[in-house]
Amino acid sequence: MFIDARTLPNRTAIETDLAIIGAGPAGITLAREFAGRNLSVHLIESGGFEGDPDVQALYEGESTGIEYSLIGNRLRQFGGSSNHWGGYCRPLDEIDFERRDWLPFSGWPFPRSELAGYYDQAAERVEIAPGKFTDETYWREKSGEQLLSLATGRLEIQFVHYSPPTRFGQRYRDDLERAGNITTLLNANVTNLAGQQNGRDVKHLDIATLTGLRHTLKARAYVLATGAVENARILLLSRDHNSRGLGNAHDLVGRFFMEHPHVSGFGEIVMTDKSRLPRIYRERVKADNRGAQVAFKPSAKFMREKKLLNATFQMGVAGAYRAENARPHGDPQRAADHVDMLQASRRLLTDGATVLDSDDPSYSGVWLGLGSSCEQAPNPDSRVTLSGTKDALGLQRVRLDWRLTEQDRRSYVAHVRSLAQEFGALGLGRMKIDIEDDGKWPRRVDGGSHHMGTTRMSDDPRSGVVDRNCRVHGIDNLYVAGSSVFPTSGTANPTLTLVALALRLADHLKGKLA
Amino acid sequence: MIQLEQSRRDFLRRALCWVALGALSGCRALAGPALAPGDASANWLRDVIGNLDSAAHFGRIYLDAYPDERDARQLFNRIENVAQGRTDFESVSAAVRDDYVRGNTVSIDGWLLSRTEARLFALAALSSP
Repeated sequence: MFIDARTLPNRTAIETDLAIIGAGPAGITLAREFAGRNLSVHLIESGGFEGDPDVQALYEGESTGIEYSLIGNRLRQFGGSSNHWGGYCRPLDEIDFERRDWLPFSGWPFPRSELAGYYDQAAERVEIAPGKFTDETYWREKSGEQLLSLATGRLEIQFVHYSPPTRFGQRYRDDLERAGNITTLLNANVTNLAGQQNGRDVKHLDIATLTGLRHTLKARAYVLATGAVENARILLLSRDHNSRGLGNAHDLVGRFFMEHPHVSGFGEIVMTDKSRLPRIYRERVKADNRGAQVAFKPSAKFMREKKLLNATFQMGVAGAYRAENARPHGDPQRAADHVDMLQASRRLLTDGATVLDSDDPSYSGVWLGLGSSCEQAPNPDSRVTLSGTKDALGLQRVRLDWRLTEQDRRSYVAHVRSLAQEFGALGLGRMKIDIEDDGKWPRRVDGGSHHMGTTRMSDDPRSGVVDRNCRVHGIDNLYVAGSSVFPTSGTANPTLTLVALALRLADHLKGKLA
Repeated sequence: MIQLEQSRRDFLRRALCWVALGALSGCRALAGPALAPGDASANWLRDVIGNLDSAAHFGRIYLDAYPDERDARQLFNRIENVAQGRTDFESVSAAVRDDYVRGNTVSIDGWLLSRTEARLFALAALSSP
């Protein structure tokens, strides 16, 4: 059932068993797990079915660190940010869960194997083929091409899967509508998690609408699932018993904000003969109605040896150099440079072949555009705090200070070089690297709309906001879902993992609320 | 076969040094048109890398960065050494790939290149007019 909170009488008091705040991928996944159970569930969403500029404006805030659009990177509506999701799916790597002695604050409370079954279920929810992320045999058979045997030991490959992408609101709306025990409250903004006098429980939620109504909702358990920026904001705004905010006894809420830094224009690869790079390495290949493409990533062995963080690279043919049908680089100087390199190393790049295209002797080769994302070290100074300005509901807006470190940069540069070395070692191509190893990040670094880490998970309340069950330390009935609980970010797009974690949390809550 | 390879290398060494000397001294009468089509050294370089004008472009940048390598004989010897004493395409190509595996690379105008490959380009530069 769906209810518009603006249609309820002012000061409606609602009681339920489970309150889930936020109807994005995590919140919807969690709510669906309770469909048909003998429990009442309320899913509380700030927006409606469609985007609304006034609602979206509640996301405005200040960005004081690396430039970051708090409005553009998130969507405040039913379905959440899955409404602009690109659909990239890949689980985190085993090493991402480990405590790495070269990476302060690393280590999840459990290994990746803890999520194995949940990853399979999550794959269903996001409508991809399960378990094919590293299955070279499967993709070799499906693509009909031999895969490369990498030569340097620095890199390995995984197969990124593409969700349709699943728009959680549209895809699962009917399920929620049909579930007699689930009520989705739309246009309902949670403004405060009211605490009990003992400070160990949430007593009720304060809810406000943009039309001026005020409601309350009381539950046995509460789950905050509004994304890493807003999860921190709501905890920091909930100051009934602690001026620093709920669950913030150790000043950790909002700290450790992480993104996947995306650097554009960090380099380009030229290849004389693109057919030597199997298609699945340079474009999406469909098999069994599922799409996948290779991603290059550093091997765990190499990361351990060199004490580096994680990274991911993908590529696609961006243009060809030939007399006819040319799509050269937009920069003529760069195009000439590409052609020079293709001509200079022509024999080395073709294994000695002389004629590349008998129908077109002018054919020189192609250039590949590259995409990348890298892991950033958990950094307590990269953080979300409250600003002095207020939104339309009278709540303090957020101030985001996203920061990167020299360790992040050094890792990234090392992996870029690895990619260049791998293409050279395989005799496939030559890479021009446009990121200087000069101790500075390039002027432009973007995020991937991947917000993580602000309510990080740890068994120790002094180093994490939530415990291994995603329960806020010190609060008996408050949980957090979503990528804000990630202690480290890896480089996999977070949706698959946060859905897996939501399914795991659902299992925990089923036991707790039974 | 071994004798044949040896004499081919000696010939290449002499040819490369001859044209390089001419190019460096500006003595075109001595060198003639450097690496003209049909020259054994030009044919060899063309066989292992590709277009010599393009290669020379990157070779000049390499030599500016490593001026102590402006010696064709020394460059040739170094290439020959890493190619297990051979100069045929397969051996040189294997040496180039091995450079990438081992990280024996240089950055030439942003391009990450095998050291051996860069030296081949430098030979092309030294041998061009």
